[in-house]
Amino acid sequence: MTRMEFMKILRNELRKLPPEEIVAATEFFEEYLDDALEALNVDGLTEEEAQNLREETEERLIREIGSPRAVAKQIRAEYASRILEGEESGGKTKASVGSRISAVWWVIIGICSAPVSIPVAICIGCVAFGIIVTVLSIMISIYSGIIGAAIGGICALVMGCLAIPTVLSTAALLIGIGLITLALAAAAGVGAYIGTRELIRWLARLGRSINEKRRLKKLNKMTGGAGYETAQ
Amino acid sequence: MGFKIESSLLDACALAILKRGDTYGYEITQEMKGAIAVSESTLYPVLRRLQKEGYCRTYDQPHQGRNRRYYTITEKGEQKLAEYRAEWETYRGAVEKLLYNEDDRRLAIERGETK
Repeated sequence: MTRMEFMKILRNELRKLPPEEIVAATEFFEEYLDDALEALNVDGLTEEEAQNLREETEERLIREIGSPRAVAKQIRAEYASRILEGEESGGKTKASVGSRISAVWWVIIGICSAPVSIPVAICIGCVAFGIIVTVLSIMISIYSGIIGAAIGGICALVMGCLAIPTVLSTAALLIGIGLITLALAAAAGVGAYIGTRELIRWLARLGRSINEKRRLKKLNKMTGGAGYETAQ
Repeated sequence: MGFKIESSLLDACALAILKRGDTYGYEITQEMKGAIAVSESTLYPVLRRLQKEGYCRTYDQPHQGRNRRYYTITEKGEQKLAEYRAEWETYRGAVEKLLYNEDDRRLAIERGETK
């Protein structure tokens, strides 16, 4: 790999970092190579031999530094950890200037679009509220249905028992209906319980994953992938 | 050199090199490589971190028609180095005690020194 190829890949791998980080990194490695070549002893060599030696050495040095992708990964990881520690929150970097500008833009866009966005936001809120109320009412109706069936079953059972001394066939019918209703209510109760539990678990998982994704997205935006690995 | 160097130890070594006088990237790497197994790609992030945390500053000086970036330790960096040196003394003492202690455990128990 030549020096130009190395620097091109390095720059490309660091493209999501602030420009000053990219410049500092490439300058460091350019300078390192220049200094290493300068340190070569070329006394007693012809200009051609010296040039050959320099080219060979440069190739060897680049091999020793290793893959520019791996180098970039280390630089991104260092940048990410620095950002997470809040070392650059002073607003000195171009990235924070950029994000401040975009924040201003968001405010302007927000104000201009208020006539549309506020009703839209109210709409979305109403729909969400409607969905929540619907789900809750469905759950309440299922539970009350089950409770009603259970009460009905018990009543049928009691009536059946009371009817034993008078009409035996009617008593048997009532007891039968009561038992079947109770069994169905018990089965539906177990089903409703499991359903509710799963729904709550699913909601909890959804909430967690949305949070996690937002965090990772923020990190990845800053570091172009390195953050994903550190956060994992 | 089979020991993996931890990043705060790298910070400490780099600060110690800078403490002996201003120097540039290539020289720092050469000095580090003379003592411990470390690559340029590990060292650059170390120097960048030290710089961003205010432990060292850089200045450019023209050299043979190009720029050379010199690193110089700050007062904050010197304080940090002193801290690192003190920590290292404690750490080294503890590790050496562990590493070179060849007292037979059974004999020590017989003498009633330990439980």
